Amino acid sequence: MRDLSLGRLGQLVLLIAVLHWGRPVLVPLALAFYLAFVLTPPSNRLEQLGLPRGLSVAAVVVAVLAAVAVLGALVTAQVADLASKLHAYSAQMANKLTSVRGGGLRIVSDSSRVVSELARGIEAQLGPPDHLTAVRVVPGGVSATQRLEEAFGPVLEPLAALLLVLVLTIFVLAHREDLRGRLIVLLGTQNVTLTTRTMTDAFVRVSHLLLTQAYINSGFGAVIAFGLYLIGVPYALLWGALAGVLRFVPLLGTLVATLLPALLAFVTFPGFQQALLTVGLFLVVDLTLANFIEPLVLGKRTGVSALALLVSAVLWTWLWGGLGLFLAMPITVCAAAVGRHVPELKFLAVALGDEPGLEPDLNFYQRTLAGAGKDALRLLRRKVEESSLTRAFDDLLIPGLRLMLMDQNVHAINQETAERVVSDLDGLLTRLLPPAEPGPLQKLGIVALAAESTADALLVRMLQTSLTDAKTELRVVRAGDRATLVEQTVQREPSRICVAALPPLGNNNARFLCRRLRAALPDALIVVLAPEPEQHRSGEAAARLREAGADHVAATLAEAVGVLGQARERGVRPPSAPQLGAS
Amino acid sequence: MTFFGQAIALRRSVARNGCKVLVVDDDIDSRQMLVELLEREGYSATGAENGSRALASLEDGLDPDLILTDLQMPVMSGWELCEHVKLEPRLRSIPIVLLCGMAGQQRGQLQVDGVFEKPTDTSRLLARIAELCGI
Repeated sequence: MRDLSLGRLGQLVLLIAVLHWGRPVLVPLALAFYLAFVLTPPSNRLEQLGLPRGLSVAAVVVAVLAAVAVLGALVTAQVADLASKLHAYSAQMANKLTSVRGGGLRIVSDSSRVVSELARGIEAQLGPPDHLTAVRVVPGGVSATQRLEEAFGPVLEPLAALLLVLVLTIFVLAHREDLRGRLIVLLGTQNVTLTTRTMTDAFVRVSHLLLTQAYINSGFGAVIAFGLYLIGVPYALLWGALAGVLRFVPLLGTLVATLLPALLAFVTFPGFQQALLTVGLFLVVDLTLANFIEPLVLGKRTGVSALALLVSAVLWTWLWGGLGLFLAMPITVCAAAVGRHVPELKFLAVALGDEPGLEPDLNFYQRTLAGAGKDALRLLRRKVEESSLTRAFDDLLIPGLRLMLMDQNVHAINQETAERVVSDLDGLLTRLLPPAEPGPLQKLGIVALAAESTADALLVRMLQTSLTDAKTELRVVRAGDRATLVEQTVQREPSRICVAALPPLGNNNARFLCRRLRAALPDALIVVLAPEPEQHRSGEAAARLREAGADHVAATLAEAVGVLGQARERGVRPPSAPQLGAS
Repeated sequence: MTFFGQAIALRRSVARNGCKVLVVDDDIDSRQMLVELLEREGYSATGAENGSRALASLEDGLDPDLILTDLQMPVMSGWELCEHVKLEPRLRSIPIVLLCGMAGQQRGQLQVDGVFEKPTDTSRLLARIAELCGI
């Protein structure tokens, strides 16, 4: 993440202030964008079927409104019924608690008081029960406008907000491409074409993610409603709808949704069976969705870390109340997706995403440099378990060595630190593979030598470990200077030679060794192991090594192991023999 | 260069396995002569007029198999060039051969792979270059 300088901190404070004070405007806007995201895929589908944009948007919005209206009417009826019976439930609760208090269930005894308070609160909102007549004292000087405001004010405000959300949703849906383009230009990116493509991709993926999440949560609500109906819990539809909505709230939503129907089941039925069944229903359905259905439908990840979701839920609830809690997940997912695709906002992806902050090789090198051998060994072991020994060397140890050489090259670390890192990596190799009898090894006459540095020598050790793992023998030549290295290699009369040389340091010596070895052993297969990441391979260094006499230049350890281990007739050079010519 | 001359150079080039030599000398005639001599022998030779220019080429990615340098030059001398190359991890394995116009003992404590006094015995010089390049 970028440095939090005073200026940046000021911007952050200003942003939070704007979000807090701008709530009346920003909440409908965020809701509209969320709904537009969710409704974009069905609208697109209708357009693909031949409907014009206006009709497709209208159809989708009308369908959603109809569904919400039907569900809303049913739920409202159930809420009203529940409110009228709250007194009765409260009394039942008190009786039941009195009967079980002797049994030691004091923990839940306070729930009676909670329900009573809840009943009083709802009564205050809905007015007194039918058998009582309300008496109100109306002052004589009240105007008609004031009366209207008093009568319709509490209804008009949410209705106006709802209407605003609806209009905004329709507008965003109808002009989605235009808005997306404006947003990309606003982000001020250098490469608009590429950014447009990646942002469009991000929008589509986030849209599908949110829609699928909405489907899953609706399905959750439906299953819960049906399950509660079967158990016999009153107002099953209400609890199902509540569960569907609350499941949008990260981590705590389902827990809260479980409590109310479980409490009602506890009050309504004698014994605990129905209450336990209710809790069990929520547990089973939620765990099934979270562990089987969601990974299957959404992939393994939503791209957001659990901690980020939790912090986001707290932040948005503080800023925007209950709606903020509901919007926390969509906002966080969108912010992380935008951060992943817009370089200027990368800090969002780092802060909110579920990917590790550092690339695995960088993380491994960082742990080694910091002297945290245990962490580095744990990373290495995990990589070996996930892939293979050779792949772990290629993906972690060798990049670690390369990063060390790069740091040494720019004098970010001194010679002493570089030697310590190589020594630590060598130690890791020993701890990774405790000495064991390798068993009978295939003798292919392979000899390996390090071109120059201790890093090259470690490369040779990795090659030996990988070949031993592949049941192939490798003899290692060690000598002080390069002339002696050649002499001792030739004395062993190898049929296959591997010169380990980490670029760019080992290039010069590797070319020298190749020339000498080629002159002395014209029939031997000479492989130079010069590991380089794909983006750094220029081809020139490899071409010069081939000119110097190498038969093959391997860019990975796996490639070197493959070439050295394959069967070959003595004296027959592989097809990638040097193409000698003008330099 | 004649057709036969080109044919000979090509054959030598194959023989030299693409060896690159960086020639550093402030005297343009001397530098030109060395570059031509090496190219006739099949090497790929590049000239630089002083240590600073040579170092700039090396930093730009030139990866020679050997550096052949004069000692006394303006801007950056052969001594300074040697010090820089030997201090740089990426460059320190490149062999260095010195050409000096004065007695050998004045070259000081430089870690070099060969010293030749001017006027140079070219056959000995070429033999040493070939040896250091692994030919």
